[in-house]
Amino acid sequence: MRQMIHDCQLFANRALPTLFLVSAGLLVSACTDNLITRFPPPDVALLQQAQQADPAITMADLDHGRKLYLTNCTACHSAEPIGRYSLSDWQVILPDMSAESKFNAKQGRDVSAYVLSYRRMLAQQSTR
Amino acid sequence: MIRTMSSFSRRTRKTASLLLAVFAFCLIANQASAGTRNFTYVYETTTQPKGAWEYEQWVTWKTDKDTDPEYDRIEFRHELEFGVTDKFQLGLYLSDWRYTDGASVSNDGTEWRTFAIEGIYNLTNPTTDFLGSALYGEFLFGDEKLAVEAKLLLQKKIDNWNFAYNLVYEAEWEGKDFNEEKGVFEQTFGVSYQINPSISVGFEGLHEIEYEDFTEAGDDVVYFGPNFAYRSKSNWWFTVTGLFQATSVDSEPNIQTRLLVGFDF
Repeated sequence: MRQMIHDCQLFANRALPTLFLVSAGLLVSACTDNLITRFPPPDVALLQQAQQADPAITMADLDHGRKLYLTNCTACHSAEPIGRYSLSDWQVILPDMSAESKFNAKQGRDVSAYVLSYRRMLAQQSTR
Repeated sequence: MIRTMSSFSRRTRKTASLLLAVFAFCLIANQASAGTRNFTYVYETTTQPKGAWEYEQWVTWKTDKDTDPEYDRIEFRHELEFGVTDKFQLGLYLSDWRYTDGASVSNDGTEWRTFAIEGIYNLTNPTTDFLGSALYGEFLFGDEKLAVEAKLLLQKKIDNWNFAYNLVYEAEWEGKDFNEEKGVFEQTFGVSYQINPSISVGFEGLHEIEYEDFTEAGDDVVYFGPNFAYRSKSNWWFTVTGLFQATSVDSEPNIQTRLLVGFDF
């Protein structure tokens, strides 16, 4: 028992922090690819989808919205897959979450434009 | 300046800090939540958004030393956080006080300890960057106690997984003339898995070494244990961790539990 405690102590002192950092490093590239796949950067198709709801939306606004979704929104929880919730669910969730994140009007508009436009595209892809 | 602070009566400071804590609690409006902590012994790298306020109530219970199985210490902390910018938050520890009891405790009972101010500056994002990082600084002062603490906060979020690590150094001065010096080196780490947007589970670890007079290293003390975090759909959340000593340092408690309850407004 004493030896086990001693071994545990050695491991904790020396290995765990290094193990944690190495594990985090090994997972980074997969994480990056995963983010791009699950939350794709806006393209022309997404912009056209967004401008059907708001003609004033620009590519920079969608890019800004994506960035806000992946940074500010993930301060409290993981990046929720956009397809997990229906369009009507998102139309309730987004105003609440924007208030929680203390978004101003433009930030709220941009993140909503990105999420709702991508959700509409997912819905169209699933009906084809 | 040190003697001036010490000249305020203990009762006055204790009363003022408790009144401040109650006042802060009363300011809470039913606004949506701005922050949740997934760990109680490990800080994450994200900060309160600009303009957001949060009140956190800390309760830490330490018990059961090999040298004193009846040992109990319950520590209370009242913290108010404010997002100065989207990357910088300030925290005020309005009052730190504790209740101690046990066969080895010479003056058991309730004791007010300290005030503190902390700042956290976010450098990189744990989701989108290679590694999330932040710098933490704290200045703590009280009756015959001064301390300065610095931390490097690291974090990575991958899908529903959340990994965090803190590297900590603290310098303390205690006693009537603040001539009792001590350094503390600490590492904390945590892993948490989000089951759904309201619930996360995981575990935390803590490793600490004290250095008397900043030079004489004491025993390595290591703790591990599970944690649970709940985030409500309104403006409050709580996280609880239970740690068990993995080493065999007789003078340290074998069990410690921490509960954080947060209210955002």
